[in-house]
Amino acid sequence: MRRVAIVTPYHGEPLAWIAKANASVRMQTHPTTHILVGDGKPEPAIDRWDAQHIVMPAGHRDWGHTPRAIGALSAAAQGFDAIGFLDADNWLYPDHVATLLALQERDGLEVASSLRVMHHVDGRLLHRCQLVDGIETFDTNCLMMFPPAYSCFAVFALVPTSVRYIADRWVSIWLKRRGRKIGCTFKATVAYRVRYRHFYETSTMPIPTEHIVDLKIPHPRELRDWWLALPAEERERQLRIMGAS
Amino acid sequence: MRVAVVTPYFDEPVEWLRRGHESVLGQGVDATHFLVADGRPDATVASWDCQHIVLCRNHADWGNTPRMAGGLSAASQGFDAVAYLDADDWFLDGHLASLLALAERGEGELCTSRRLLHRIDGTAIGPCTRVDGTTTVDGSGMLLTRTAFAVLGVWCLVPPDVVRDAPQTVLGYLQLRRRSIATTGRATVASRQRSRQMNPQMPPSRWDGHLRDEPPRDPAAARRWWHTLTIADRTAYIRRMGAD
Repeated sequence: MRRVAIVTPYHGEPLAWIAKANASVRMQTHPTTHILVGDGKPEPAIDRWDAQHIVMPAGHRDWGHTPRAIGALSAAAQGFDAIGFLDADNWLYPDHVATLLALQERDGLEVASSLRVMHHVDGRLLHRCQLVDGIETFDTNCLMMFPPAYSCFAVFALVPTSVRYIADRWVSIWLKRRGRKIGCTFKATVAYRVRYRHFYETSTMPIPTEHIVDLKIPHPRELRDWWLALPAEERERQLRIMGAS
Repeated sequence: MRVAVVTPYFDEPVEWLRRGHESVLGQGVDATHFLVADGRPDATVASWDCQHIVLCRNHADWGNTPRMAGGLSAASQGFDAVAYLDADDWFLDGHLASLLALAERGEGELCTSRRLLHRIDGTAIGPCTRVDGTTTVDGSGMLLTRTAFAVLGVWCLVPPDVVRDAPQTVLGYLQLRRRSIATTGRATVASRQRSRQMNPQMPPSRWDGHLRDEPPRDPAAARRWWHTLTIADRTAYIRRMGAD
């Protein structure tokens, strides 16, 4: 049986949310190991859970991307055959891992992706995500990497600081540039708890008062414009740091 | 340049770790010590002037996963260079300054030194003739600059057959990805040898429990192993490490 790890960085999320994420990993129909990475705010209770626990003293303030990279590479070194991700505020549906593994086996993929379902910050179901299509646009929670794609993990921590908050977009660009074979189950098996104020402001729902984040994810065109505005030598330097050059 | 020095540790005596730590603090450059516990965190170490990372379990890969964790954390925090120091080794005076001088002159994206071998009790043996800093390297003699940081994750992707001597694979990755490599040519790292073969006729001491039966590593062995592989196997390893 293939050994699968799911990596979750955390930093100050309610323990009940992290416990829900952990339970959803333990309840996968394919046995899965959960690796939790405390990014500056370790929770001692997690030491007693059925999980691996890494503790980083410095909060990296990069939306979990550095602890995500470290947890995933730890799993790679332990010989896991497939490695996925789960944010501390989200959870997985029970067949998430099994469907990704089945797709990878059928199509010989190096990266497999799912879709996601949006949930209110209080946990109730909203609707299917209209943005993540698993082909052009990914969400980190939806991804599962296989060994030929493991070298992308370091990229999470090496993306330029000013655009680190969308490191997952850089990772997907890196995977495509390096010719890794990617496919999608087209099944929404990730429950995504929406915490962006912008999301609620553009809906008919009242804006929640707790656990809301003031961050607007830019359109891909804005990222491209930012990149093209850099001097050519700086673009080359950043590509070299990320190993894309 | 702000330098991070990464030291993985597992069960080494705290005296050894302290000697290494003090040698980092005494380098006279802007250096921060990252000590990474590979499954056995030490409360004394946690109280030092350092960043202390705790991995929940021992990865049994000769410190490679802790090297990755410390290096990526440092890269993310904006350090300009990452150097390594094994838990049983220590830096000699001027080590980091000599590597940084090379880096600041733009001579190497990987800068290396040679090493001076010591017995397990800390007494000197002599210069190492196997590590030349260019075709063979020692982990404690390596300093990576930002444009070589793509290699920081490779520590965890080294082929299992050569995991004991991962620095040679890290060097190979950087050569494949056309990163420049420069060496000071000077032996500025003290390398404590734990092989019984390197500690003959030692009287019984409190370090006996830390001696190892296996012979010392031959840094050229990894390259010889690589040349025994089929093209298909080499291609697969290169793709897995992201050196394609």
